[in-house]
Amino acid sequence: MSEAAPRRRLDAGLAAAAAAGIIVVLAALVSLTGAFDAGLALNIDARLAAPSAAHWFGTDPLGRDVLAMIAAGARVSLGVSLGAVAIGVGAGVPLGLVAAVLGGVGDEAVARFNDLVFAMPSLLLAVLLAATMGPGPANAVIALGVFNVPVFARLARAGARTLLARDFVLAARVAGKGRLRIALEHLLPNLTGLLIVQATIQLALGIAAEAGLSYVGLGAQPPAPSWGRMLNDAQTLTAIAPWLAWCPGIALSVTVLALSVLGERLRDVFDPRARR
Amino acid sequence: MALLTVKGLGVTIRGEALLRDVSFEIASGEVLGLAGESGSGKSLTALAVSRLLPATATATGSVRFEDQPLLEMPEKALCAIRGRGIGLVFQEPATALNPLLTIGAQVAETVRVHLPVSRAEARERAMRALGRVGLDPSRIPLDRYPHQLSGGQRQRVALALAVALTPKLLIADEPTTALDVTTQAQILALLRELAAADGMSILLISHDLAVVAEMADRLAILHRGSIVEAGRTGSVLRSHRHPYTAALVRDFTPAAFAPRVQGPAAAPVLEALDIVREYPGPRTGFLATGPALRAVDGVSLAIGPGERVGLVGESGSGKSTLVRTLLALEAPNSGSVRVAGETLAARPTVPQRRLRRLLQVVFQDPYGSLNPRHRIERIVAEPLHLLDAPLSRRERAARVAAALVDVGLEPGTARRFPHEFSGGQRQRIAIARALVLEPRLVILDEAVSALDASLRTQILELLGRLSEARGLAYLFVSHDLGVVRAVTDRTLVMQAGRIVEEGTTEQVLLAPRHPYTQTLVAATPNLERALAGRAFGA
Repeated sequence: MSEAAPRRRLDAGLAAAAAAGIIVVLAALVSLTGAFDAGLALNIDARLAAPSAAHWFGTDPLGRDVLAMIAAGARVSLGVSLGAVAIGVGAGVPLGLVAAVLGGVGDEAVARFNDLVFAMPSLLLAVLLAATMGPGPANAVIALGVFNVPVFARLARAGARTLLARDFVLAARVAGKGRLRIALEHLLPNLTGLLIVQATIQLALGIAAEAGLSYVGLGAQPPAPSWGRMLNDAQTLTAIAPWLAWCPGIALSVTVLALSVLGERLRDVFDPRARR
Repeated sequence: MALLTVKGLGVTIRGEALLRDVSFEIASGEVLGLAGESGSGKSLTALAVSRLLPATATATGSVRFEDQPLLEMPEKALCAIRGRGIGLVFQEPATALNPLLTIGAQVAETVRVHLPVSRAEARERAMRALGRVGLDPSRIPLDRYPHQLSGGQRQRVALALAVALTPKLLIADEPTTALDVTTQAQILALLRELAAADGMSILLISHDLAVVAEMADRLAILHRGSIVEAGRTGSVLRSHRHPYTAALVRDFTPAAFAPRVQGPAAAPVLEALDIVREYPGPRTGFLATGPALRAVDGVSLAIGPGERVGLVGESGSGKSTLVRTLLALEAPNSGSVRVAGETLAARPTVPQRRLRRLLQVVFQDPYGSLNPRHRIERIVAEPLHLLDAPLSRRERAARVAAALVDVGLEPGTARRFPHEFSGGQRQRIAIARALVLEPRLVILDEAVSALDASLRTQILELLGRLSEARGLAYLFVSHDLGVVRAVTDRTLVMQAGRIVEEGTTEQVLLAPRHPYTQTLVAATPNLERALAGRAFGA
């Protein structure tokens, strides 16, 4: 009885990690080996084929292999989302750390700026941004990345502020270390766990958001496949070719779910209080 | 017949036997003390008896309360006994109460869970219970929330919860450890009063031998999960037949350092001149704030080379703020701190480094004072940052190794991380960090308060040796008068931000003149005094 609970949680974590891993490998295969390139070619003779041994996930109205499109779409989804998280971490973490160690007016300004951005409907504004800057994956990265900045800034600031009161930080100050140096040597290493967890969760949210942008035509442009646009294209065909909607839908759900569960598990791993 | 009989109690968690063959009895109206160091299984015993062990633990043996087997009883029947027959009080009053319920509602809830009474009657009983623990409802209304009360008042509420239904047995696990000595004295007196009025038995768990010596009729000494000695409190503590008990009693009263002969008054190493440190008052309105809180209110002090000075006072007296100001971690609102005659500035500029090299600190909590992500070599070497020229890698390693040897650790430990060390070893590492620059003064901020008596003895011996060998001065900040008495030559007493009494340690602690010092000394549990108050054999 005593051991059942932890083992079940571990399994959920492993399953999530495995699912996320498969998706990443799939995406990597596409970009590196071109294994699916043939499937992406137009083949009108084979259009709207139901799932079979030749086409596991069926084909679309242009005869492209849906499995190949899912795999190619995974690369776009992950790429855009990773880029958005990188912007968030790269700008948000230094901003939050510096605000926390310097304090005063600057700190207050960063905190209120975060509140301001949080108060806005981020996906709607991302749509607006992407629309004004023009569609395409690079602009999608920027539009989604901007809204990741306050997430990481707030987390870094809050985490740093609790660490600042710890005795080891006081000891470093007694040792004459400056604030920025303390931020780098003492605060950042103790925040990495927290940040990795948040990055995983933002990655999941980013994938969902990228699908949203592509759905309204502001993400990757044709002919590059993308999960959001596949869903949009499938709308009118759900009665005759349901696999066209099911396949990208499930891929999207599984990816987001896997990354979310992975984030939860990582939080347990990094949180010493949850370790025992 | 005994009220509670524990026979062959064992507790195993994940295959590890943490409690082995523990047997004791508590008679009606008797106070049984259970003493031992941290990790000896004291709290585990309390949890096992009340069957509140974590789900991963398995208990064996027998626990009989009023002849009912507690370990085999269904949970539902047990709920009727907990609270009604057995009351519980734990160490931390802040977490024992529900922050979202008023104190009256919490006590009334306990009453209504166990008795078929109306809301009004439960409230009536809650009022009486709170009145009994000294929280007069006319002064402290029932609709107060826990956060509006002081630590001592919160512990009184926890006690009211435990005794509202006049249980026959009260299990009190370190009930006064988190409290100041004067509050502790009040709570202990209250416990005695309640026990006498209701004929209640108490299982009193404490690491503090003086507390159990004052309170307990009989005493059991727990060591590594087994009871090594039990008997009348006086005879256990006086004759200590078991070597472990002897060590416990010996370590409890720290050995005094050899008095240091003061040479002619030299220029002080550290001087504080009329320091005032204020914090903004609480917000009283949208823009309005209350009057500023004066944490340190005009403190002046001077510490000469090699002098050992104690600073005592209760929580909230301003000790910690004063320490932070002396270390230039906070700037005073007025007044100044001087090191070797020069003013210490808040910013660690290059010319200031020379001053800061003379002053180091050891904090209370050895778990919080070492960065968990750094190796020991990096932690110990940190103050070397204050040197004018950076050391070569080899010199650095040599300095770190020397500091580690000084505090009795292997130089090879430098490559390891803090979590690989015990609390006592970590405190040695913190001391090594303070010594690596060979400062002239070390501020020890409750540096041994978190340690068990045996470790405390070792660390105090280490500090004594180092201060002898190097003529190191220290400011020993502590709430523990026993330790201050042993290891300092001069003592300052702080209350409400001011130093109210100052003199040689002997004079301040043995013949205090200020009323506050007198209260403090009288409230401090004293093993010798408690034993002297007992008839021999009692």
